[in-house]
Amino acid sequence: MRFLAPSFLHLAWLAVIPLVLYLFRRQAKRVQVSTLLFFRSLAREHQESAWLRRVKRILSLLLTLAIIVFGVLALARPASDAGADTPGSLVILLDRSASMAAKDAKGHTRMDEARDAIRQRVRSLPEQVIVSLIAFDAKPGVLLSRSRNRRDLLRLLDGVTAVPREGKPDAALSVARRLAELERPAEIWMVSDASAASDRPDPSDIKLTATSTALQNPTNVGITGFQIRKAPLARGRYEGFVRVSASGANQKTLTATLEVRIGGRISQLREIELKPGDSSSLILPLEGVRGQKLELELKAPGDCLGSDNMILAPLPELKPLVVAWLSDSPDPFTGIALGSLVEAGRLDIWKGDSKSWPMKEKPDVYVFEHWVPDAWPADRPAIVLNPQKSAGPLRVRALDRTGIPHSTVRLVAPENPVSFRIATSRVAITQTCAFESLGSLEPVWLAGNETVLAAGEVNGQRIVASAVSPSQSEQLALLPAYPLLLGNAIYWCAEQSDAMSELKPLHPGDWLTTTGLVKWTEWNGTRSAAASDEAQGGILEVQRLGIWETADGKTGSSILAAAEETNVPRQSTDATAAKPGAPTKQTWRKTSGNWPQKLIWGLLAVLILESFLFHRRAVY
Amino acid sequence: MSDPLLREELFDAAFLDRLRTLALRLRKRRQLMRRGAQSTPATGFTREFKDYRHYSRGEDYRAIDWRLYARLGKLFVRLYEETQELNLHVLVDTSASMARPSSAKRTQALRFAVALAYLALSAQQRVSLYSMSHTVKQELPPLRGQGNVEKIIQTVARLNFEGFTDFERCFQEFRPARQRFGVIFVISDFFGRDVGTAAEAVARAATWPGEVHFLQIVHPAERSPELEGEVELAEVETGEKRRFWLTKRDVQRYMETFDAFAENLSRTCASRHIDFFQCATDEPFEDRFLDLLVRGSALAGSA
Repeated sequence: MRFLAPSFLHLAWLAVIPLVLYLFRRQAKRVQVSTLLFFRSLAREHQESAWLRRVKRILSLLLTLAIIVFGVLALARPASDAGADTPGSLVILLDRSASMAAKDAKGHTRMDEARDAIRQRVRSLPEQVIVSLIAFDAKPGVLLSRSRNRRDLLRLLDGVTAVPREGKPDAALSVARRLAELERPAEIWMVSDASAASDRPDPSDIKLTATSTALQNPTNVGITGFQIRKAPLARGRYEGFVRVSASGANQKTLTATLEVRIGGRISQLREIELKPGDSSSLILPLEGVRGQKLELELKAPGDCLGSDNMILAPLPELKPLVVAWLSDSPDPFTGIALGSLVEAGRLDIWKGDSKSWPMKEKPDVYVFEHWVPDAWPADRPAIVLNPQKSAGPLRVRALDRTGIPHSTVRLVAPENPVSFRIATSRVAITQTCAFESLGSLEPVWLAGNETVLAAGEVNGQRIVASAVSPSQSEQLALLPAYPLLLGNAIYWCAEQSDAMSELKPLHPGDWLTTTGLVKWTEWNGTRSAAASDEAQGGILEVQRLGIWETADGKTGSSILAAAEETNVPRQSTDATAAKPGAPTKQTWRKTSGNWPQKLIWGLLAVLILESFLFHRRAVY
Repeated sequence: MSDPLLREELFDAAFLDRLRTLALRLRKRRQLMRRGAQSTPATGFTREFKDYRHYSRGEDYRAIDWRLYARLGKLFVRLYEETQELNLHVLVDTSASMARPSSAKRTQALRFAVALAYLALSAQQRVSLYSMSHTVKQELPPLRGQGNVEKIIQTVARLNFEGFTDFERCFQEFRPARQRFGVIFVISDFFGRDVGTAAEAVARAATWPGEVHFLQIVHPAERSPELEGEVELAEVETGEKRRFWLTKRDVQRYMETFDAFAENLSRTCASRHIDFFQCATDEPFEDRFLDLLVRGSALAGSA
């Protein structure tokens, strides 16, 4: 037995007061009267014998002492030890990722369970323990730093809700360790539906206890990937790429239904069979006009998490990418490659030369070939083909007209999107210039020791630079590699342009550059509702799922699409057994006990008994 | 056993003088009042005409009024009022409650007894003194003449105030003969075994031959006790002890009960043609004594 608030035990001296009053009580005044005739009619008469009066007086004293003792003990908050070490400080890590909104059969979310567990634990903590509270999703947020104020802690705890973001505990653990190191002995207590974090190696000697609030038998399917893109070879049409996944904790194969609604009307229904942990990708043709609301809803019986079941997105405008191709001596193969992209309806080419510079209307991407402007344009991405002088971040040395032939090129950055699906095995090129300095550009192709293709970002501007002349490189010009390379480069550069941005969904936590009011059609896990946010300082952190619309008319969508969150974990039956000393939820209930509550009940019972004896039974 | 009463405590040096002055004041007040207001059964010292009655056979023919016979032709006899000697019976309650816890009641009661006796003796009437507790006892035989005042004073000073008052028994035992017709004063607090005991005993007192006066002596603390909190009360007559937790509200209820008792006793006395008079110990004796007499006692008429 220990006391969580031992300072209140000093109030035990209050018991001296009734003792003194009892010992030095006023004796009954003895008065002689001529007759008792008229006193007998009074109701509150002592009619009992002396010994009974003494017993009652002692009983009264004992009841009073019992009330004081119970009251003081209740204030001191006794709790059983159960062998648990009391840390000097406790850092509570609370997972608030999307999967914490998973509901059980009673409708309780994992966040509710986590809050209950924390409240229970906090009540059993001695008052001197310093407590910190960190809530984390993709990023950690320190809600309470090193405080003994339990009321603040509980108030902040009540304000924590599950947000539609991925949970990444590593950064939160790092912050928690730094907080814990300030007060030893310390303990980090992580409450999450995932149990993997506690198995990570801990470089410090700080005790880490993980408590899982995962469901025993969860069932969940969700949309883990989504993109709207223009349908290939079909002008004015879109297609949606959707990936649906089933949680690995599912008990059996589920048949999920994907309902596609455009403008409120059901356009497609797909039934998908998903084994536990499996994913399935779908391409859905989307026919609609700009501004219509696209809704993709995945339904499955017993689904416990709603936030990953719906995608809300506006159908974007059919606007081609505008590419300004500026060259005094345009390469015909470049023209052929760009022309093939134009025929697919994806590009709008503005052709010009050095005299067209500077341009009055801004394209989405600049393509400079054999020529670069003296004043480097930093406001748009640029593709520089075969530059003959240094410009911007590029330091170039021109080679003679014949160039340097290379029979092979080597792909050094296979993950770079510019080299996507390009086979370099048969590519032979002629290098027409040499890069002296690439700055922060990443080499993609090397020919010999020379970089002949580089891509990267410089001060937020995407740049692709090529030191190859296709007309002089017979094999490159004749292979499909060149148009593919050019197409990859243009789309990668334009990925952040307005024309592309409408197609790219945001995720909660991303930043939206806008001003004024942002209106939302929000999906809260169960239904769609209207909401709004105010963008402060020209920027807004996306915190909702659904369709957003800025004051200047731009629209877009925000989706969860996180495989980690859809993969709702199952509570391991031996999770607590694997961590000896880690208090389980049940243990806490037992150890914290309800001693204060019991004492208060006892106190009330004594008060009622005393009231009954002294008022009902007229015991004085 | 009550403390012996000192003569000086009962009657200081000027008491008898004040009593004489009191008698004069009483006479003067009576003269100022309408004559004949007091109805007395025996007035005057000589035979005086009272009424006529038809003559009956066997009556003394000397009483026939012949003048009336001459006028009316019928025989009437003259009736004369008879001069009768007045007897004063004074019953003093000698229970313990009259002397304890305060002796003021005893003093006041004995003052009334002596004053009444003095008044009667000075009017050449016979005075009898009785003590009354569990039984009634004649302390002095009928005395006559002003010189017996001293004897009465000595007797009352020796009275022993003990035990309890049994009104039922006392009122049953006290029955003066028809020859002793007169004025009866019962001086007591009238606290019996029960609240209704005194009222029930009044029925017996109503049968006594003569004019009956109940004189209740009370102490102010008996009407409004200054008690609060836990008290252990001991009754002086029986020694019975009781514990009470008294509040102001209880004291108020006590006073209401006490007043109801006195009111009930007064009403019962009135219904039986018995005079009831209450006197507190803190009230001036002389004023209250005069008040007692002017209520219409035959004793006052003879003074």
